Amino acid sequence: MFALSKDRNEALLALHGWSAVFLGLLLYWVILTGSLVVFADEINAWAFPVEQAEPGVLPANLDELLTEFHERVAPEDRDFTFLASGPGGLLRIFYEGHAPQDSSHTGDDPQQEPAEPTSAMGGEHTVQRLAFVNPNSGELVGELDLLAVEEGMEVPSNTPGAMVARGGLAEFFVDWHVNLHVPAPWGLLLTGILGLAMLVAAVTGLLIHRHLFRELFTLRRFKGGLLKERDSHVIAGTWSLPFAFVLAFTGSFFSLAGSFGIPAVAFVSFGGDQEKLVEELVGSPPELDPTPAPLSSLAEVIADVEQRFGLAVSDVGIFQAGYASAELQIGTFPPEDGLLRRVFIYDGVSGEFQREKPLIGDQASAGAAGLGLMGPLHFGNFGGVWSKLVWLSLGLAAAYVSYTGLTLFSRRRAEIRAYRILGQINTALGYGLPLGMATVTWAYFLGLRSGWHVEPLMMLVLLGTLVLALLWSFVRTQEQAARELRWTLALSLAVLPALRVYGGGPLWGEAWQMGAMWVCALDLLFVLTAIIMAAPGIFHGRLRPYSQRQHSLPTPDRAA
Amino acid sequence: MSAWIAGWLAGLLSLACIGLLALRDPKRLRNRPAALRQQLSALSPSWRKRITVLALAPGVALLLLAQWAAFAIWAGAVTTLSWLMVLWLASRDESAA
Repeated sequence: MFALSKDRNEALLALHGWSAVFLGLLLYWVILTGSLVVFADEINAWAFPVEQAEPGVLPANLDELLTEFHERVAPEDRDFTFLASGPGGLLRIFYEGHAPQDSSHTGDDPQQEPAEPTSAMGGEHTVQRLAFVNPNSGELVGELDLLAVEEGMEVPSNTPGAMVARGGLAEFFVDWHVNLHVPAPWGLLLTGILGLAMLVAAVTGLLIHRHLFRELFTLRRFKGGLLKERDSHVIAGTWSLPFAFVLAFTGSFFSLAGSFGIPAVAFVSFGGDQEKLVEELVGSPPELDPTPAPLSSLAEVIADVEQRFGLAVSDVGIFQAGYASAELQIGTFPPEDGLLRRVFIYDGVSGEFQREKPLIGDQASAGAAGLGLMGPLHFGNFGGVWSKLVWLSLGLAAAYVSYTGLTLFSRRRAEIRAYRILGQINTALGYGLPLGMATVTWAYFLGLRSGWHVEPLMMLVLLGTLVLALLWSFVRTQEQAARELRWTLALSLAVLPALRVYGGGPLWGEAWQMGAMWVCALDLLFVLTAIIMAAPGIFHGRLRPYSQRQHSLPTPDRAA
Repeated sequence: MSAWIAGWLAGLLSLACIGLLALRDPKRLRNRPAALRQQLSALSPSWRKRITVLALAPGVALLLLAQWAAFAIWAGAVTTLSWLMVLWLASRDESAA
């Protein structure tokens, strides 16, 4: 396919292999967790179901919920409010303001007029909170002070509400995927570099596997040994190559834009003022008119968007609620045939449509469209469950490529002890990561039930699982460790439904009545996956006991 | 028609073509277990090209119709399912070996 000299080919092979060794394991973690958090909303809906609430959809009684929120939170604490669907179908309310901390939460008087703003709503935020409200009862389920979190203050996490306020169970996995639980900005930089390494591996893989299109269908499993390993890696890599590019590029962009790109551009062009840069890109809040004025009906504005543009509304941003200059930013889901979401500006008092707002700048542009594509192409959330399912599969394929790449690399050099150890570590962490995700979910439910601090417990259990998997892989052969870790994983998945109920979740009958379909769907999925993992022979059409099957881990001699 | 129906229908059409390409792929047939090698003949290069064009046609059609979401689902579904199909074919060969 590409004519390369022998030396260049060897150099590329070395680059391809070593980029995989240094970053392969972490990359595998990032890809695997990323694949699963495509279904973050659904995972939260499984772990913390809310009656008749559909994940990702705004509740119908938004005006009532907003009125209750306005009664609870003082106007100066909410210069900007953002409403979207949260974990399990709860209403997620982000709000920020500039009032002194001690004057917040003065909602005793519902008719209280907005306080005279002091700083024209500019400068440092003094209030920045995330609240989660049950759309059925209006109950505040959990609330998180984001400024306190930013300053490293301890936030209680031993109640379901507090966990939900932090994003629920899935947030732990999202954090893992986004920054490997490494503090900002280092975690983002690390995952950004991992994304670039994935790009390097994809490009060098394309160049060195020159016959890859001729070998699209050649998988010689029956020959066993290294040939089988090599074919498995190449086949999975070839078929998932286009998406490896897309996922690596968009993932690197998301990681590096926040941790490096924005600070760098702000440093060069805005004297280090990142807020000013963001304002320049996405626009400033409207000019403040301090005259008190009631907010228009959100239900009517949402109905207008649906009627005028034929699009479903995904989120609502409110600037200066309670003032005459109030403005609504209505975000939509992408249209049925498209990938890009749209944002419309409405007058916050009259509820009249004003204009469409591009993602960046004032005018529609290729840059805005390109930026808008990053999200759907990375998250696969443009076509509901079906597009998410495809993205999950692509992610799993990419994780498989990463894992088999490292396996192949270590087995080809199995005559050297260091590479055999690398192979054992690869097996331990390759199975240990999904096992860790399962045991972390155990910890989540057990922690909720017991009243322990859930997040430290989850982290402890994760680390413990990985350490045990590593130790186990060194006292057993690589093959035995792989088999036993797989069985342990199967067992861990099989008991998840029972633990969910033990943690306070509904039984299937109750879930059915609540309309919480994801509870039943994910319970079944976990049990089915456990069966598949415990009995792979069934799905290969072979029912022989595992011990009687031919195994083909190369001995150092064969590998040499 | 919703994006996922269009994407999956187009994907199934492409997958049928890719299935044919896989079954009659010369390199795969050469590398089957000895007992199975003579069962099928390989497609000629000209037929392989025609079927490849046919496999890509649904995706091109979706692009021409500006069905971007359906195109993305088509591309993802075709690559994933094709990979799974190759695994399945290899598994069958392994069982027969």
